[in-house]
Amino acid sequence: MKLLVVRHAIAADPVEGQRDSARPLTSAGKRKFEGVVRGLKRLDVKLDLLLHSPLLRAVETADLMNALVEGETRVTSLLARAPSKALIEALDEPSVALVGHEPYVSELVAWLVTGERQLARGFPFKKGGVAWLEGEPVPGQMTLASMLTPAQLRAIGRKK
Amino acid sequence: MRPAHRELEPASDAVEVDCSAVRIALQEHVARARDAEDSRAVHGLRVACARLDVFLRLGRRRALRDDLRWLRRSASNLRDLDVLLESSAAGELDAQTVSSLSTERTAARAAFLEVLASERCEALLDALANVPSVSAQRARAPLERLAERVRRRGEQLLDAPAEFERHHALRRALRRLRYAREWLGMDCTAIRALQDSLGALNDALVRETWISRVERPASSALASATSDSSSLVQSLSAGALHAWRATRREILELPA
Repeated sequence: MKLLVVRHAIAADPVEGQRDSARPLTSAGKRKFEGVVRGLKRLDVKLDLLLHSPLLRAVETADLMNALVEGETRVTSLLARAPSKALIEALDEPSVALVGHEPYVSELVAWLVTGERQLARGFPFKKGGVAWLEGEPVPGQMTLASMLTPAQLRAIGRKK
Repeated sequence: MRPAHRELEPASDAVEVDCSAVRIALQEHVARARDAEDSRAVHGLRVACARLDVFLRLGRRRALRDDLRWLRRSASNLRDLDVLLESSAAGELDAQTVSSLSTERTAARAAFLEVLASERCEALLDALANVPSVSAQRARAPLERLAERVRRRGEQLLDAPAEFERHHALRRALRRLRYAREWLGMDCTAIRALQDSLGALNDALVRETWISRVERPASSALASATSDSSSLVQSLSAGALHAWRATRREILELPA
């Protein structure tokens, strides 16, 4: 399978009285991530399944990825906590993207690629960054095809 | 629960529509449907999901709509069977058919309870709590698209009035347009009247489908009920078509 692990785009700082889960993307965050999606589109990314966390910044990032989705979009709290077997079991389509948060997205990539979650520091994500993995969704058995920063994907999206 | 209308003029772009009342109603329906046999809660859950789907459309949001559709559909069989069993007059269906339908209902309720207890359902309710309000200005283009869809579905029905799927498509499009207008505090009297006609037809079709699905012995009472049902469907179909012709200009706000 192809698996894209995505960290949510740039979100607003918390304001007094606001729940962390209710922080929206900033205008600049949306604009920049639209460029990321253009880059993914140029790379011919088509998704059978898009899973995202229930936090607003992940929901809004998933919204921006809609142009890539040919199947279902699904909310899951499994992406708002440390990666689990249940999350891996949910990867049941040939082409899946996950939108989540740090440190969990780094832990997930470390787990799937090396089998060791504690190596997460070796797989850092910028906001709006994307890790592209391939292979069977089994810890230690996936290949990291590329780790793309938002700037790289925006540059890909700008080229004609 | 219908969305509370603001005091501001509905057409004003400054109007901000908030979904929290319907979201809270959905949470309450989920809790009531989970904790007890409550057909009103099941119905209320389906309505709240549909209203929130339209709210997200008005905000031009795509995420969470598949989840709302999943939750709404998970209650479909249970709701259909509740309506069928509650609306059947005494003696209208033979005992074996009622027994088969009740067995189907038990299975439908068990499947529905699994959905209500799922991690996805909980995540959906959490996510909905964070959905921002929508301005009337932002909602204008989606509202026009929903009206255009009603117009197209109506034309398609007139092209092939014998195809019940086209009645069904118009009914769904009308429901979305009505909910959109209600979110924005607009009048929906004409839409509701037409929905009643199309809804009665749909209920009769659902009834036919379920009765033909369950196993049963040959029964003169059932044969009679089935025959009556087919006549009713034809009559309701003609009535719905007439209602659409009579109200489409008003619904679509076209010049007379």
